Amino acid sequence: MSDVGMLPIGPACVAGLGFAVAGFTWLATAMDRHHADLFGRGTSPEPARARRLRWQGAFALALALAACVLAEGWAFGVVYWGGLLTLGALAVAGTFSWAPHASPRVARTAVIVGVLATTLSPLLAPVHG
Amino acid sequence: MTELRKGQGLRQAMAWLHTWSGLLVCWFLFLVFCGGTASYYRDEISVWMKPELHASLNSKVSEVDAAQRAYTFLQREAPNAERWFISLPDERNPTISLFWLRKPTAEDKGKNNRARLETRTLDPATGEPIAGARETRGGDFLYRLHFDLHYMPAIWARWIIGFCTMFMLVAIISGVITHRRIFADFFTFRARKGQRSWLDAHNAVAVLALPFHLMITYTGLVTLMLLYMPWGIQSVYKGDERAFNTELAARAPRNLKASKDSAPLAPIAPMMAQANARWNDSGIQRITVEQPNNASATVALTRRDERSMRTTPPSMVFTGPTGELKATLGEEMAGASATRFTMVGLHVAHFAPTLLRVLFFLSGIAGTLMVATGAVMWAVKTRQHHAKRIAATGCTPFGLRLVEALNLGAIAGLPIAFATYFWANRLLPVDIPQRSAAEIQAFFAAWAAAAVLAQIRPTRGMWRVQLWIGAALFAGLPVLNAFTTSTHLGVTLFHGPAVVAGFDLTVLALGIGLGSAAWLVGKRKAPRKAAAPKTAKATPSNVKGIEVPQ
Repeated sequence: MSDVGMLPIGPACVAGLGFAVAGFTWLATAMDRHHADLFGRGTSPEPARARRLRWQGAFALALALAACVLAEGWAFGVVYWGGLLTLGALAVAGTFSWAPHASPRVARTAVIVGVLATTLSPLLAPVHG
Repeated sequence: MTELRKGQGLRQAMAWLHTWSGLLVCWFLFLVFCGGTASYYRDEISVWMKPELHASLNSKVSEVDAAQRAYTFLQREAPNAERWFISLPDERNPTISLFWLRKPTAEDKGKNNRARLETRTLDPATGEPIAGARETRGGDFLYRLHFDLHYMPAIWARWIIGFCTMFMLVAIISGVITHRRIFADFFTFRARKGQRSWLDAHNAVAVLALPFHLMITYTGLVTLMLLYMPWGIQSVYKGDERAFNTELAARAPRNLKASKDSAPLAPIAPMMAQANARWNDSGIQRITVEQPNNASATVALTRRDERSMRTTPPSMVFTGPTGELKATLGEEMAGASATRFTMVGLHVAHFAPTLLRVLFFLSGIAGTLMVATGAVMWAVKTRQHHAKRIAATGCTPFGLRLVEALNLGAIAGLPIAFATYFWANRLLPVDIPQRSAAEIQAFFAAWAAAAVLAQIRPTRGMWRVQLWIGAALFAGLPVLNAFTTSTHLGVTLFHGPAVVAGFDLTVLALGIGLGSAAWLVGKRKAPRKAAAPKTAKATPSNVKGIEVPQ
């Protein structure tokens, strides 16, 4: 069985970007500098919280990969993933630079968009064949 | 001055290497990045630059009909050519592109094959060239510019480009080694902090798009590896590259000897049907006919390969007069050549569908910005280093002035040249002779003017002026399109063709981008003067990252 086409590529890209933005935001929040951007200078995340944020972030990036691979197979999926990670990371860097306090909201919204895109897309676009 | 000394740490040595390998070729790399990024939309640019075609863009014609129309046209116009080359319409390029190689005449002696190449673009709906269509090289010029440059033999250009690409690879690897806070600064961008902001911006576009930069640089070298490293073929095949390619079976044999007898070509439709049956209706991308209407004619059909990154899709070769299948080439490929052609495929991204193409394009822009920010950063740091001397003597060191002027001429000047090329396409009269050459001359004339002005006055004011001109030219393109064609945004957004709307929106976005850059350059002028003593005091110790060689 081919794993290509289990998800239409449009929603998969939306989902991939959503998961990438959320994942990178959480990874950034686990870093001292960006934790300080959010909660004030000198604060750093508690070790347990930092560990949780890192797992959460890594998991979201893996979900982004899964969305790409489900839509396009491994060969193409990885290329899509690479591009979406770049885009997502640039967006996160921009958010932390210009609107750090919006970043938790951005992450939540992004992850919801990602989940909706993956779960609703079979309803919106009937799968061919 | 940061020098390369014994006993210096690896990072400092790499900083030296990064700075110089980047700086020496950065203006070339900027051109290569701009041309390459534009080439992702080579077909779309060509379509936009041929507005006479826009009317027929929305009509869909089947592959077989298109092929038969191309055949009819070529039988009428070039029945005795040496080779026909037919590209069938697809999503990105909805026209039939024809090339043929005329039989050599006495005049062609000593010239290369290119001189005998004839080109036509047909409307797939009628099978005829579009009446009154303007002559232009469209996106092909930008694509060629990317690795063949211009006004020089292609072979020199490719060596120059290869040299610069190797520098680029060295700059990327040494840049990663010397960037001591690559993870700590992963998402860091501090705006409005002068030199610090330049470094952050350079790091962000370089590190966050690093997979793309590494891939594009390495695969760029791979595309021309047989030029740069010909020794394998020289020793095994005695330098006969054709024998090597035939053995790879990657392409159908070319330059067949014509026999004395002529013989009409068999119809194309049954061959296409046979090919589609074998390839699960993947479709046919290209038809190459060697020695048409000759007894030794062959017809090669190349598969449309939308699901493969490789640049060498398989082909089926038929006997011309009878239409019998002779051979199937390139369906199985050995590991080494599959690797090579996949790398080349990743570089040129022919396989990329719409969304992936957008990602490649954006990554290309990140690469362009990486080169630009790196070049500017050198100038900013060096100026700061010499700040006292410049303030005391009032004159800028020669090297610094040269770099600043070259930066300005390349980074602000090249967008002007690109936009001028598109403006010339719309404004030059349709029927002047050598029209496509005139468009290209407009490109270089605009760039030369910008570069010379930059050398005369490499000032912040000149940056603003040139960036504003570039912004106005780019953002003005949709307006110009509205005045000169009937396929402007008001029409294309609702009724298509989407390609034309996409071009207009992209150049508008680029115009806005250049405009914001111009606005930022202007805005920073006032506060910077007030803060001048403070920034001058910035010591290297609080500017982490790449060391400043002076």
